[in-house]
Amino acid sequence: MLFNSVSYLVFLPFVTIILFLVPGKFQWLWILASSTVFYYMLLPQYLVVFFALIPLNYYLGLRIGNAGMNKQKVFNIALVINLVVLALFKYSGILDSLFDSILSHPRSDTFWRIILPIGLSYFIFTILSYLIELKRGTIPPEKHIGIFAAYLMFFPKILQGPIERPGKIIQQFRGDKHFDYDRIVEGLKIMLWGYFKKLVVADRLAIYVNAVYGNADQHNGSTLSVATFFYAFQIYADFSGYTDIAIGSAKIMGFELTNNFKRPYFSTSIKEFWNRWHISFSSWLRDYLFLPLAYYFSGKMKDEKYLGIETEKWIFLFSSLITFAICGIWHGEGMNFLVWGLLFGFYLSYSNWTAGISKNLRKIFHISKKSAYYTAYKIILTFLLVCIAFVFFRANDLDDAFIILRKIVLSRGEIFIGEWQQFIFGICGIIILIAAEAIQEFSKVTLPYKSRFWLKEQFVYLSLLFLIIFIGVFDGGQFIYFKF
Amino acid sequence: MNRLRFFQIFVFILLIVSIDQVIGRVTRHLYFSQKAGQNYSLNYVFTECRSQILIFGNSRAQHHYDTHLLSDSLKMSCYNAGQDGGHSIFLPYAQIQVILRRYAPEIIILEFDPNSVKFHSEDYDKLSVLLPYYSVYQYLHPLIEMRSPFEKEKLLSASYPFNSNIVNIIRYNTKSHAARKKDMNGYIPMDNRTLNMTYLRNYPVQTLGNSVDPNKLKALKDIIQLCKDHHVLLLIVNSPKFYFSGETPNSVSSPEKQAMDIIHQEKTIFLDFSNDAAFAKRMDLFADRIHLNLKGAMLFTQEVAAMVKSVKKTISKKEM
Repeated sequence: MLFNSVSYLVFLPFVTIILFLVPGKFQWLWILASSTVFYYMLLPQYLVVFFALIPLNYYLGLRIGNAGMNKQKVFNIALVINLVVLALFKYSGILDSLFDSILSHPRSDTFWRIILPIGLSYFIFTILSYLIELKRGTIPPEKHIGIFAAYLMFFPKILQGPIERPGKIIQQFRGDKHFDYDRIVEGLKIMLWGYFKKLVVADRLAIYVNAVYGNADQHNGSTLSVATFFYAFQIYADFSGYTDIAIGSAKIMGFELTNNFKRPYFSTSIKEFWNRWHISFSSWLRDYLFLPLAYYFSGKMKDEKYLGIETEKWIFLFSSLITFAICGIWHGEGMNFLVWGLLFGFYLSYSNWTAGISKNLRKIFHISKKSAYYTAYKIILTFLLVCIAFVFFRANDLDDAFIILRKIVLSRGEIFIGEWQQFIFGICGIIILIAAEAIQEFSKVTLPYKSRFWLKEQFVYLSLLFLIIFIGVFDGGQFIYFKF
Repeated sequence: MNRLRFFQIFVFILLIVSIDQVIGRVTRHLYFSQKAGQNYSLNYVFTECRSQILIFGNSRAQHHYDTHLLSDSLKMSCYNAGQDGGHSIFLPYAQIQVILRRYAPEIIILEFDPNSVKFHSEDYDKLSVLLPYYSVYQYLHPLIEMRSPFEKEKLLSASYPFNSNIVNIIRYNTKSHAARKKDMNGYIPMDNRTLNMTYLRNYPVQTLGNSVDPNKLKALKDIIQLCKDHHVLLLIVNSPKFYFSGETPNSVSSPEKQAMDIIHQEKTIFLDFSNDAAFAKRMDLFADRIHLNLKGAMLFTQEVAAMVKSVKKTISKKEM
């Protein structure tokens, strides 16, 4: 079942009530059972994959924890196994094409035409995080296979993250979960905000974006610009909406998950953007890919200038490009995803390489970094750079992406509105979202919203609820990041 | 949990119910006060219309059948109850159920493509157009509840039936009566744009899936039976589509065949213009692949009127 289905609103309270009734030392069992049922209702045939990986990695984790000198060897084996499983499912399309070209005729069997099980990527990233931390010795191996399984299968996060670090979350499955009114209300409020983002903002904007991007060659640059702008908010609202529902659901049950988004469109640089967007994934990339790569290159390169540029800058460039290339490839097998990733690598490297020049220019023109105008300029510039990258992310393929960008730059005309009502709802959703996030960003107000006046607080949430009932899209389908 | 918490929960639930009822009732009043637009047209068909000829269907019905031409030709009042928005047979099924409980028109023309009985999940989403009528017509409940699981529970809310409709509801409450008159008894002509090769290359003939939707077949069968029970002359018409040289219509699919079997078994008149030679390759008569432009609609309506006259004559002779 999906988070945005009525069945989930029945499933969650039922699971929570039983959880509180089950004795503390068996609660992991109930979590595991309900998570299994949750996934079973989505893709039952792929439960086999998850339940094969759990004991395998449990065993490998114990071996890594107790391996002594052979730790690296066991870790390498574990890493390869998990990555091969992920690659097999994720890139079966490429393997399929490869087989067809080798055999010189298309086959009718479906061995390689495997659908990626929803959540497998996040599942395996969580496992890899566990294995890496074990190897580094920052955590001990989990000896209780049931708790290990519950940690991996935990239904609020299995489909789309957050990718939880083992040190933060595994112990939570040992604690006794009990009823706490304030915690449950807070969880419900976070979920409500998540549903608003998904149903009112994301799914509403999706109607326009799909109509335009699905017929990109029929639309002018002005329309494509609007659609790209809408898409930036669609994908953010969709993904962060899911995260809020996940965090709220977990909180209701007594678990704390990592906040995955921190108002990314108020970032003043691409570096800051990636500290605020899909935080659990970007920190995963930083800690397990970027930093090890940087360390590796720093060992290989001499501490001198190459082509007049310091070594650190070259290390940053290579590490960024490789990390974000992998990030792009993870999102999809098309060249457009690779370019999307490389673009961010390039943005970061450019910023890193020109940091000194920027600082000098600010000095020359007496521009304070804290000035409101400068901050606004940086926010808008960062947002525009992100939107350009999103063209590659959303387009069907690389050719389409370049056609769209060329049109955005060169072609102008009347903006396609489609159905006025949809357009107005979309704009209203964006305005409310920006306003709510701006309040959080520039004041001390945090979500969930709290007020000294109870009635005032309730009216805020009632307003959200009725906005969902009145202009939410109830049959908008699954979340975007499921397919990754 | 202390008494204050219970009180807060009680007040919160009370607020939800109260606000829902207030918003729902106000919106309901506004909905049924609309003076123009598709919602107005639907409500008019449900509550007031007493035309002798009624036309039902989707945008192809709305844009293809000129009501004034039909009225002049057949000397009978005519209303086009077609609705834009890609609706399936479910909407005409609801409309006909409601109409026939109120009065029996002499002729019903149902714009229907037998291929449309294939399963398409969006057709169930579009049942949302009937949500405001859930509390009005009990016999529409089984149809409306097909929209989604838990639809019945969602409809406990007074506001939910007007989901995604508020802007149009407000807009068409402010439009004047003059705007309504322009729609020509439900007929909304397309403009006079014509097809061109660039468009045709970008929009080839589409093929949907191949699984039949049994609910749609049932709806078709029920429509035919309802018309028989109320002695209404039912003509099922598949209006023209464009195919240019080198293109052929898709071969008859299994769902299409099943729909045709029902029509033939029930001995219902079926006028198939979908590949009619007079229209199929005429780019000047089409605004897009499946919609006739103003000129095309006029020609087509004349053909339909002639067919209806012929059918009526044949029936009169049989009765004599």
